[in-house]
Amino acid sequence: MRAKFFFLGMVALAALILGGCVGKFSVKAPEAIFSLRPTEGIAPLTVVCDGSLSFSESSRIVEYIWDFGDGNKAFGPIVSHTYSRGGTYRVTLTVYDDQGRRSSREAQVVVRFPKPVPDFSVPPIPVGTYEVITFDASASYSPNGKIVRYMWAFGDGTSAEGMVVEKSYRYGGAYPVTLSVVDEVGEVASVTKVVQVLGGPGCGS
Amino acid sequence: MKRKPKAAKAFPHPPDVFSPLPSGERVRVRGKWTVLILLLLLPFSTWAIPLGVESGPHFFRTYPPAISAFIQLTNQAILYGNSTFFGDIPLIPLMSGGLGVRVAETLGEPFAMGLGFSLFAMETGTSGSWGAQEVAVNLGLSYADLHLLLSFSPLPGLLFLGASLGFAWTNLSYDVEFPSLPLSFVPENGQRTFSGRTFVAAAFLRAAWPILPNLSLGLEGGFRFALFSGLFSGDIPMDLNRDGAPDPLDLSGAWLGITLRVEFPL
Repeated sequence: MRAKFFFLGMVALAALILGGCVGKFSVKAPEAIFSLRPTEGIAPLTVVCDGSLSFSESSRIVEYIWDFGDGNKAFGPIVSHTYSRGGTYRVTLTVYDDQGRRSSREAQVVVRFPKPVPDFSVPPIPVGTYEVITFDASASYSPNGKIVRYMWAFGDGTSAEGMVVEKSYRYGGAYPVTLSVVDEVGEVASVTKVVQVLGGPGCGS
Repeated sequence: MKRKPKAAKAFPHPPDVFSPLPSGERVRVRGKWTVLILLLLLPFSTWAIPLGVESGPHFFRTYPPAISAFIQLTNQAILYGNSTFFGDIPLIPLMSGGLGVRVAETLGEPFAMGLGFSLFAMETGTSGSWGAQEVAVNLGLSYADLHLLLSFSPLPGLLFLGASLGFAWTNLSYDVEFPSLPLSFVPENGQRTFSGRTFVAAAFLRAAWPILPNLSLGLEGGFRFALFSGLFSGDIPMDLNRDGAPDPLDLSGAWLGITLRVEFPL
């Protein structure tokens, strides 16, 4: 009878020991998980990266290394970074535990380029028919770099290209003049201003 | 030109035309087979060969790292969602054990050999919502193996030590609906069943108490090694943690069970 109890105890003990040790048989790396706020926006975009959700089941996380995908890095569980240019960036967080084990995870930030700012001057007073008007768009600019294309629509069915253009109208009236600019990253923006031309309307109008 | 009778010189006995081996080598091979057959017949060498039929429930304890990591990552996402959307979706309990059954038939005593199979299943999950955003995560794991087992009874009828080797199958059902969050990990939405198979090895120890003639009740503990190198749903490998690499599934673990053993003397 004593032998039976002895063996019963042995079986139970072995099962409990083995069962309790199972989790220790496998080495567990920490897990990197983080939030990004916001994940998209217009440059300059400041993103807050929070890696405090990262965890390690069997040890303690001692280091957080951030790679923002634009050549910049930072350290710490919660950091922020400003993207000055548009693009799609991969943010990578690598965490290390106190045993030297590490893991990485990445997420994407989409930074859109800002629009260029088109601007041009119009005559402050009405002009007459056949009077040459100079449209100058040199006040336009783009935060993304140079403006590479200036496109004009004069409101009478004609158009032109160039930073500074000249135009005269055959008939009087109010003409909406639209300037569209394209910058070096391909962003497009437009602005419309009205030009008053003195004189009678055309026979056909 | 005359040819020499090579075989007569090389071997003292005439070679067997049906065997590619020299006769001395053949004798050694025959000896090995004899020993193997004797070893296999050893359990049945007693006058009365008992046929033992064992079955019973068992509680299987395991912490599959791939599933644990997925659950913990998902729980972090749920914590984030709960704090962001003021929700109270319960966290997913870890998959740490399951109930199953083991059945085996063995011949012989004190040495016995036989066949057996094991089954177990476990599941976990959670559900809730953050406003209009529904959250549902359900995982179900089932396991089956068929194994050849060898056992030895140092105290016949009372104590059994055994080992087994076989083939195992597993299915993981994955059913997830999770909203998009600005996190580096959110579980992938979808409904899939991943399957895998592998070799399995186990060792066990059982203490038994005779309760009726030829009927005993036992308490059994053991450990099973079952590492599935990859599970697939069609051509899609299981990648629960979404790190781009297929996840192995380690279902190794201990079990504790109750066994009812019926013996039929043959």
